[in-house]
Amino acid sequence: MKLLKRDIEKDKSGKITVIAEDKDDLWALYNLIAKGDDVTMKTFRNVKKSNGVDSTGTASNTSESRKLLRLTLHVESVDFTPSDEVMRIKGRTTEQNDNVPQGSYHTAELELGQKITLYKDEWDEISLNTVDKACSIEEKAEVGAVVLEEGVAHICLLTDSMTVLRSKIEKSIPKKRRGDSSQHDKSLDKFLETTAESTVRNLDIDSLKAILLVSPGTTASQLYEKIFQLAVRDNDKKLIKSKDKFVVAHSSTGYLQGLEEALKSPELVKRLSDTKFQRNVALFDEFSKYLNEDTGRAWYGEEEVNKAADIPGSIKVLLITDSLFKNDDINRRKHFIKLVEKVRDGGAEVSVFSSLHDSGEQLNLLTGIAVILNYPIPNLDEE
Amino acid sequence: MPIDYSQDEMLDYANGDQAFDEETLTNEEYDNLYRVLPKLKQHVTGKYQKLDEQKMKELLWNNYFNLDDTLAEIKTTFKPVKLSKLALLAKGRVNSTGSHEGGEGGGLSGLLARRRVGGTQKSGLAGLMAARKHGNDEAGLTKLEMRMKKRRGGREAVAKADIKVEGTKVKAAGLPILTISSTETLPVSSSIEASPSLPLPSVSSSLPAHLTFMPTTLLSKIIFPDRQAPSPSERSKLEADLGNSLFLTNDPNIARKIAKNFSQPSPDEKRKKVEEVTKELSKVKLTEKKRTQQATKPKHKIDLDRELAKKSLKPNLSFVVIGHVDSGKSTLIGRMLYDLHIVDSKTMHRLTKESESIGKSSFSLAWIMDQTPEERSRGVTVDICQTQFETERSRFTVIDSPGHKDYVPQMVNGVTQADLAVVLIDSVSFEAGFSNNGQTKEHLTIAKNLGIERCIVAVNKMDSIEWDQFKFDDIKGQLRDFLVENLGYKVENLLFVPTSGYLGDNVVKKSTKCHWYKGKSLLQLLEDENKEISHAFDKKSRFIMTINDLQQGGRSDEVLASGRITSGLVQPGETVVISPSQQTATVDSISVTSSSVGSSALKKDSQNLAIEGEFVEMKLKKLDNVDNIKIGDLATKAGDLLKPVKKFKCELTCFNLERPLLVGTPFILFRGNISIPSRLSKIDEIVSSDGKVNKRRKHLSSNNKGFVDVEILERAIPMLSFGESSKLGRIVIRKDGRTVGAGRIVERGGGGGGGGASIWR
Repeated sequence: MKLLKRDIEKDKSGKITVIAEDKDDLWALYNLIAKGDDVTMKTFRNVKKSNGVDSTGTASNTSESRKLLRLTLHVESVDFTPSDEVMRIKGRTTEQNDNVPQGSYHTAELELGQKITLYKDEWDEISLNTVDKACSIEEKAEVGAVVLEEGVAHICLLTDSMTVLRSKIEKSIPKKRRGDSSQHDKSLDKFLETTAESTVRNLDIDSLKAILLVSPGTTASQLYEKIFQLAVRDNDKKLIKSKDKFVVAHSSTGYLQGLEEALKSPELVKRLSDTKFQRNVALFDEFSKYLNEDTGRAWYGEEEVNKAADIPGSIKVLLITDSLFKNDDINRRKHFIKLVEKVRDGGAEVSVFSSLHDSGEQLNLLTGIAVILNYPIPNLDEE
Repeated sequence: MPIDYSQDEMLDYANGDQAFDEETLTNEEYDNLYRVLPKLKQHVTGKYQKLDEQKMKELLWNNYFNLDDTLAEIKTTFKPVKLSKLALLAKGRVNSTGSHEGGEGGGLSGLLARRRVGGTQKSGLAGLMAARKHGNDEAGLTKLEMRMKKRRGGREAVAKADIKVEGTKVKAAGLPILTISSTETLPVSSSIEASPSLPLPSVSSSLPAHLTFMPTTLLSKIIFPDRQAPSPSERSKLEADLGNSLFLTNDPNIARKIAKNFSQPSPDEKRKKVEEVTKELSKVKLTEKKRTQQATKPKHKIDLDRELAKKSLKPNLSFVVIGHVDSGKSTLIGRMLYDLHIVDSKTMHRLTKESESIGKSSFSLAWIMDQTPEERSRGVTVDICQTQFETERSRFTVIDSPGHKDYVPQMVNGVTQADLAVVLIDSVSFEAGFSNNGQTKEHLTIAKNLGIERCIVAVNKMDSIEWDQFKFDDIKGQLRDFLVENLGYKVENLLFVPTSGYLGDNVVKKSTKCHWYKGKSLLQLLEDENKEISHAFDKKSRFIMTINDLQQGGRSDEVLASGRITSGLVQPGETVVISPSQQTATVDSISVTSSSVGSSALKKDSQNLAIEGEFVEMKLKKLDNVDNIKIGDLATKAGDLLKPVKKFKCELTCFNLERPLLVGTPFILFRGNISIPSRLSKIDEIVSSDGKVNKRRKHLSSNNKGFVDVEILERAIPMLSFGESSKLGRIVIRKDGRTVGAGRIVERGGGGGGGGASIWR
């Protein structure tokens, strides 16, 4: 995200002007913009203009046109669809101009590369953190992945804050039969070829840090071979050069959940150790492990976490999803921000999970907040 | 199934029509054709115009050689000869009872109706084109007069056509259609005129034909000879106008021209006609939906009890061979088939040579089952392979399953199709397979939880340990303890046999080297089990078949579906409905592929009845979209649709877990032969291993039992509760490559909370 202007007063109110450059930035903005904030941006609006002096209100002289206007909206709701790369902000206009009366409803679409100014009455630590992170010039690590098994393949893109399924390929492959497996072999080959072509088409291999090929058995390595067999055939030098970006990894299934399984494997942990989603997957796994041992080192649920936070030095890691901050109830939001600050001040690690990743979604379903403790505290759930 | 767009388009084309070519018929079709043709000739010769022998053959082929259907089509398509008198009358300008507009509509709907019945538009159009070619001569008129006559019934024509559709299936019983082999190839028609996009163009082009000759008398009479009469007031106004024009121009040529212009349908009328046709069309679609639920009767009348008695003489036993990787599963099956002379020595010789050439001569027997290049080069079975054979006393289905950890999903698929498990133990490295990381325990746990109650344990590779009885007893003891204490098997349902799959000892023949073993060989044990397991068949039970494999059929609306009949019975000619796509199909033929002992030929027998437990290949026809059928779908009788759901309640038992099952935890769900990503959506109640009930916790730990809601991701599938089907009501769940739990479905989600329905809308 490009930060154009930052203007925050001592009382923490103020505004920033930014340009979103990728999907992650949109997601950051989605989490930043809360109900009650003001945003200023350019947006299209259908404007009705009445030419004649017609007091009876007949439509004879009015014409409707689409105009690009600069509007300031008092935000009521924000919608974001990751696959569309578009965010919709709905609100009422705060000022009057020639075309739009004050207080009329408008829904503005924010696209990549578009300037937006966001005014907040109070910029809290989490919000400022989000802005800083999104604007840091550190290279963002995007990783491509193909999770497959015989007959089904998922091509997806992993960014810091989301997993996006770019394409899914399904093909029913006839079973092998005693005495004849030619139909099976032929369709399997065709399936691999389709997947290989789709992988190259759907992933921008140049800009990716790595491309993971994940499958049970040897299907992933067969795909690896197929991709480069096709690259040689088409004389795609660029692709051949980026051969070492491809990593073949193992999972027990070709469905999307195989990806998370593969991310836990030692070879990928090493390779992707500096990415946030890898860290999240590892933390959630650690949490699950403790939970399974049932010794009282892992707890989830707001009450339990609150209790743990009251015992200084007990929390090792706080796991929390971004959707808890994205709360229209300001008091709830403040409560969570306070909790995070308290835990962080106590020297613990705080890991914010993106709910657009599988791990974040799982945490969400598990109340959205959890802790790993430094030492077991049994019966945290009892009064 | 093609996913290529270009191929899809090809299919769309093919769906429209398929040309008839006598040369390309299969033998069965050829026989059918010449059996029915004389009968047809008896009925129609001399009665219809332009109906030559070639046409008759084509019509027969289009109607699947069904005499009644063909006759019905001829009646609607061809002009009876005796009508020519009427045509003469028509020539004499006898103004018939109104316009022919409705007639066109009737004709059109007739066309549409016929189109639904299946690929007949070619002949229909041919008739139309013939009529047009004759221009305004008598033949063309006859055709139109005929239409006029038909018009009287305007809408009834549609209704009648519908009745006809329903009727065909009932009548289908009269004419048996024998098996049509899978190699059947039919040319895909590419002729454009044979696949009309819409019959509408024919409306305007055929209209003027009857108006081209005109008496030049009174203009007003000429103008409205047989068109739909406008309202009286309108008419008089028009006539007045025309009178004016006649008054203004005395030139008869111009008057004639005016008359001619008016004789053609006005733009308004044309529009009205299109609207009418559209209306009919929408009606047609509605009735089509209804049609899909119709049940049909079997083709053949059979004595059910006698057929069933015949079947029970030679019951079918399906067994799956399971065990840790490299315990010799494929080799044992290869040996069994070879010793039964189902695989001849020529094939064996070839396989031996091939395996030697890559330095894996010990794999030669396994290669009988493992044929894909990947399986052979790695020496590992990847997918299950099923084959059938019959001995004098019994029929067997043997399923080879992979032992490798990565391919447990395929092995689960194999287990769901079996009645009994043959568990192979590698006597040389028993411990590796029996450890917690080995697959022996996992396989057995899965088998037990999927309802396999009987096991034959074959302690294999005994030749490598010199038939050491002590070792055999040791393995037997450990396994028996595990099976009985941990999994709850009954001791009497477990049999143990020392074998050598590679050399063939105790597989088919009794071993000469193993003196201490007094029991029977594996095959004899299987024969005994077959007798033991086969129970009385309830012919009233609900028909359900699981589709295990699909192959493309000869026509675009056909598919060859293989699978096991989970319960009930089915006969050719009956209509089945396939879930989740909810498509109906007619069972055209049923066949069983099997080999007899001593013969290496795979023979394919067509059946006129298939019952519970049998593995059959069904040729399904009259499918709307073949691509929507997938492996793992369930087929039931028409009218007994299994509704696909996205949620269900089950009683879940967790095994030893490394990570707990949390609400939201994704896993792979196995049910029957499908595996599908799912997740835990709700936990109602948890019972810990010490019996404590907890309703607040949101996670299941090791050995917990819980009543949970499972949500199926991606798509809705048909589900059956354990009460409805003891086989399909069971589930196994796996996560991160480990089997983490198993359960029974208590209640299938009522309608899937809308989630299921939204997909199929």
